[in-house]
Amino acid sequence: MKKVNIKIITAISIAATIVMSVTVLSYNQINAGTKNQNNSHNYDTVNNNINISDVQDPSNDEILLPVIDRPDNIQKLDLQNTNIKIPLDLAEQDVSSFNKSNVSSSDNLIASLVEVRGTQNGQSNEVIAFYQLADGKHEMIVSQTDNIYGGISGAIEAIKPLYDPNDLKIENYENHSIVIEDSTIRKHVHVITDQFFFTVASPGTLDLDLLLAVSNLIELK
Amino acid sequence: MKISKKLLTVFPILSVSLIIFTQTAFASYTTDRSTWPTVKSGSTGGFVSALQADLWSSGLSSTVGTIDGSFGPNTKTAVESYQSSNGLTADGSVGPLTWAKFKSYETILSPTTKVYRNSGSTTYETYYSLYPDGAGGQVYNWYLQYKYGGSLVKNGTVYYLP
Repeated sequence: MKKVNIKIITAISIAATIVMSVTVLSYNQINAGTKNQNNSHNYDTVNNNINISDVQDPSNDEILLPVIDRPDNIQKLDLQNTNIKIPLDLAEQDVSSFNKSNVSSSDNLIASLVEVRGTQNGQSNEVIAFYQLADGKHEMIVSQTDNIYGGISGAIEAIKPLYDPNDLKIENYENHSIVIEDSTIRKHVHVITDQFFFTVASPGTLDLDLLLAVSNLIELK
Repeated sequence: MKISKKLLTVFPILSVSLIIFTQTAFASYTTDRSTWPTVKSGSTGGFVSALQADLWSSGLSSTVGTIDGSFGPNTKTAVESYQSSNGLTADGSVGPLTWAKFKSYETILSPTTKVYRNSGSTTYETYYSLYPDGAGGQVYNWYLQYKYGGSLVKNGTVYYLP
């Protein structure tokens, strides 16, 4: 009797574990798979929301889709009423005048400010400035978002796992910290205060000094 | 003594079962694409729809066609094209090397937001955002939007972790 019981218990345990594994795996896959069908076709809004002339080179065979309504958790931010701390005039500046900069004026590869965009994504407000580089192909992106990650140390811990430790450098100052990713493929400089999380990013071909110079233009107070 | 012997037999089996359960139940994806699974012909789900959105944002919208989360022949052709133009072996399967290439085009704006912008597309970008779901879990969403103006055209979920 005892022998039978042990066998039955073992068999039931294994079967239950396998059933639970398969159930949870299926649940995860279904969740990952079904939540992506969230499109609506509001064709009337197309011309109101897209300036087609802003879409460069539409002749390259890309499909133009109609605009849909944004979900509640990701709305546009009113930039007029936002305290913007990132520099928006980099293209007009002489980079040699940037504080603590080691780059010369001839190194300003920032050709123009393409766009400034604000997003209110439920957790925080985010402002992104897109700069076109002189090569006409690549961009420098400068952004600010609220630090919702548990202060400076919390934000550092949250951002660190996203980078290869070999490319990472962290510098701590009195009221802020800087996290640097310096790789041949891309570069990021994150300036973190208690209140804000700033980013300056570019392709890896750009001089890190230029990114650091730009980061010095961010208003930290 | 007899019971101990049986326990010695049962324990490893239960341990292995528990490990399998843990790995499937708590498959730990992060926003870092190096943790994402390989997707290829026949794959479905959020990772495929995110891939398709990024292919749109790489200028391959007409090759991919509809973003439906199903890795069909059109997506495979688009992946092969992406791999060829990015110096990768064009095998049509998206594993660590191809995910790493996609990663090279993304800017990390904050620990929870990213934007994928590739000069191959003059029209689209993919914005990513990680949200708490209010019940202790996390949901990672993608948003395909116009590169200039940021108007949204399609969105979905990459993964959901309870």
